[in-house]
Amino acid sequence: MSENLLFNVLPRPTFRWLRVNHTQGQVLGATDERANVVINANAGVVTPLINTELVKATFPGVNPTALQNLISTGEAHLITVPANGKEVVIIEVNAAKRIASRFQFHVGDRAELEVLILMTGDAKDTSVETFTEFIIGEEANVVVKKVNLISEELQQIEHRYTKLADRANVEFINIEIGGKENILHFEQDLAGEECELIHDLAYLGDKEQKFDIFMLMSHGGKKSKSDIHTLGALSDVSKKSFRGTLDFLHGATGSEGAEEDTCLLLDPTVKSVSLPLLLCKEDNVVGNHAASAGQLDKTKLFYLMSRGFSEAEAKHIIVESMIRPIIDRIGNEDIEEAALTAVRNKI
Amino acid sequence: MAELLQVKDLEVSVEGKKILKGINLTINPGEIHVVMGTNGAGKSTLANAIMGNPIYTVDKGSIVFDGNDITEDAVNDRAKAGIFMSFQHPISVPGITVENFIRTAKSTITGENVRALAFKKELKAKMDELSFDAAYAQRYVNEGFSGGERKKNEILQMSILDPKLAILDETDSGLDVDAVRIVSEGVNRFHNEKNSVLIITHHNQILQKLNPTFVHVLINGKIVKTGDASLVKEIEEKGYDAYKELA
Repeated sequence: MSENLLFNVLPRPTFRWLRVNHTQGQVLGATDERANVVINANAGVVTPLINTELVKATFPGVNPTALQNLISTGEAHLITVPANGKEVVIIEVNAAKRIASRFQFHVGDRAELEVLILMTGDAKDTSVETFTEFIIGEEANVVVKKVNLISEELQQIEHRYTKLADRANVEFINIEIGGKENILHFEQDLAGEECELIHDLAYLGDKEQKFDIFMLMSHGGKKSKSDIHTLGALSDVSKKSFRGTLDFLHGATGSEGAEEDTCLLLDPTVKSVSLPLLLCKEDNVVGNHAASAGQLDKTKLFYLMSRGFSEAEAKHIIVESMIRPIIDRIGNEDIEEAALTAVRNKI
Repeated sequence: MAELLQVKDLEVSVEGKKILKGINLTINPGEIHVVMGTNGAGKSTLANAIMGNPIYTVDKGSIVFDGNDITEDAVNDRAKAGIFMSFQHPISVPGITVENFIRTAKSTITGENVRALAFKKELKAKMDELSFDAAYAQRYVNEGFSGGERKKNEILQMSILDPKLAILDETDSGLDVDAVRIVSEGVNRFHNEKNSVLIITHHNQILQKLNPTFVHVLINGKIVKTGDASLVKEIEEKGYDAYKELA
């Protein structure tokens, strides 16, 4: 599949001359031999996914063609947590070869699920492609933590769809450090009343790395809440594109959504594009969006240097201090340390 | 006794505007100097210029510290030489705990490995002295701290980094009476015959527990009068207007 595809198409296009409506690209190694992931979970929690239908039939993922190719050529797993159950699932992605893996999570009412996805691997010129779907029952609590430490010679594509029932609570944490090109697509249906979803994503780009991030929060349920925060730093000629949309649908009265994109520009040659979008078909909703991109704060640099740190050390501290609060939430010391080491090696 | 700090005929500007217009100041070991003056007189500029803030440009004059001309030195080199500045508005550093920050700073300044256990004990003791909840050691630097807690954190850093010269840039501003007392007691504990303190303020509250060697009045970028501690009372009685004609 070496054809040119449109990735992460904006739900409502803006002026074409801005060149931000989509990203054009190819899926690398789409027909390559692939490796399987390792899933650590209690017995009976993980079974083969037989039904290939999408949870949401119209979910496009990063790109519909790329998504269908993953479904037809990749492995597929069904992870089930029954009502009132409590499970922890650890997914180890070791990209020694191409990865094409689909995970469908069914989380029952009042169940609790924690998912940790660790991506490593040093294959070249191929892709690490994952597709996760979450169907989350009433009053269920789900936390998904993903740490991407793959080689910078790999392409990473993530398709993620989530549907929340009444009073479901979801927290997504992404640490995106590796990958030459990272194309990430997250669509969340906040269908239930008073459901809540928080998504924090940290990235750190250098050399020619690219981060193309798409997030769509569709508020359908009354008094639903969403909160997006992407933050990171770019150096050399790395690029980041953030397309974040808060969509308040009919019936979402009393809902609140917020999105914030913060980018630290360490070199004048980096490129940061931010597109926070608000769509609204309902009265009585609150939507906040903010985007900031700036260079190192000179006062902060001076403060740190006044404590003995050289300019280079102070820059390290500033970048690490941006990302560390999110890394600290992984809750696994070994993985946190691995992520911190990766951060320190890049700055 | 050799001078610790000699500021000679210092002229400093920021964004092309001249702020300091020929400052001469000598500080010897064991002395406490106080610089008082109106808003915009140049007090914080003096502190920043001594610490080496690159936003400020030294147009003329020199700064000699411990026998070495540091006028052109980088900020971190001045810190390693033994200068510390307590900031008027300490910044937050999310992601780095107070303990890690101060321990790493101490290791950087001294060039020696700071042992974790001994450091923890020292930190706890210093925090107790400042009535600073020890739990803050594990919190990110100044993140979510109140104004008073940030200033205590500055004094905590000063006491552990143990500089030869501590510059307190309006450390007392925005603090309540109790916080000012705790901060001034902290400065008292830190000060000895080998180190020096330069206090920038326009209040006299912080000076009630300290015994300044010299008090300087800074008006419009110039030190217009220098005296002993009694000058504080004189300023309180006369106000700064009485000194403006000297500028």
